[in-house]
Amino acid sequence: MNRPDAPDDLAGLPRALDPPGDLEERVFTALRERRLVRRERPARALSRWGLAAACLLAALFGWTARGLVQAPVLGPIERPPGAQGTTAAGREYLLLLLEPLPLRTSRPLDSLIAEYRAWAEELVAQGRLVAAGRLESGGRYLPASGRSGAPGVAAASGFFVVRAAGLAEAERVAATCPHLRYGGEISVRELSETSPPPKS
Amino acid sequence: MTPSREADAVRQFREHRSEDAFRLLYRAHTPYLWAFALRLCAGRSSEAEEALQEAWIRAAERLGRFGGESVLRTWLAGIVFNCCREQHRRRAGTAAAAAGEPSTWRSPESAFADERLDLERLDLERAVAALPEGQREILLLHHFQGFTHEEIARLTGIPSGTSKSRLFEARRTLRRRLSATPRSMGGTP
Repeated sequence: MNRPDAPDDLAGLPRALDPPGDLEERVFTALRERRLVRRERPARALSRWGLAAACLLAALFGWTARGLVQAPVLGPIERPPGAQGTTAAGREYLLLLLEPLPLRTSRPLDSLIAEYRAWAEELVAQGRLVAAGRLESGGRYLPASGRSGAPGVAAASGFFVVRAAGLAEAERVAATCPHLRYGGEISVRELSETSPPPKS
Repeated sequence: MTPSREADAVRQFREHRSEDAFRLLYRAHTPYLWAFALRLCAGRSSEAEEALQEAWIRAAERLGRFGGESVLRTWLAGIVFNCCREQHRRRAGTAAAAAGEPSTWRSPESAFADERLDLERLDLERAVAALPEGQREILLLHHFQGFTHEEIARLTGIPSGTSKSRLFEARRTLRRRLSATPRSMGGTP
């Protein structure tokens, strides 16, 4: 059957397509072999941040699940004295950490880790921290049906869920995160109350 | 990626050869350049991958000389175009060419043959892939990358008048093929 409505303006073709999953690493391996890119400052600082955040978030996530975890880099994160059972009132908010441009800091790694750790411990002391996690790089991006293109937002690298009385308070909490001082961004969103899943 | 973020990433790369900065540029532009390369190569994905990898290597070598005479993506697209052409000529007469590497849009095992790709789009992709090389190049440069005929002439070495006539022929060929293509049958070139 003929198609009398056959388009001739190519509007149906997306301008962007997902490249093969392993292409990025092959490209960057080739670039490194040719010394065309360097993992030095400020790229080294970003790696520091990535390591600090990864250890911090992994440790915190472990803490919320078990109460105490031995983090290989951060050391034990203990529940501060008197904080047992302390829980801040209010709603829950997602703090989504967005990947920063290369950092501009010459601070040593230990100092960065200590800063993030202190911030997280304060959340714990306030009874605010509900959960934390690190997001693995890569993954997939699915555009809306009929549309194409790459994501228009920076990549997310981790998250915290905190309790706060309202959005303004959640924003004030997020504003104290070291992530912002090193070029990162944070998206603050309230978590809607959801019904429990139906029982099968 | 906003223009200011892109400019910052370019500066970081130029000053420090920052891998992270270059990776930002890579991620911002590759989905568009990949679509361009894959269609230039008529759906031959391994050819497109090699060309795109080479293009990014050249971009890293030359970014220091990019003077902003065009937007960055246009500059990158020009590099991709040349790499695809060179890749195609390198492969011509080789075993891969003799074996007839299938187009992405013809291989039943390819990612593009899955249910996410609607039939109308598949017909379009195949019709573009089936165009004569010269027509396909001009169509993709002009329609998808926004090159003017004068820019195409500088890039390809053909007169701008030839570029215009090839574009006209490409559209006519597409229209004819798509009108004759039974839906869901895939059609034949």
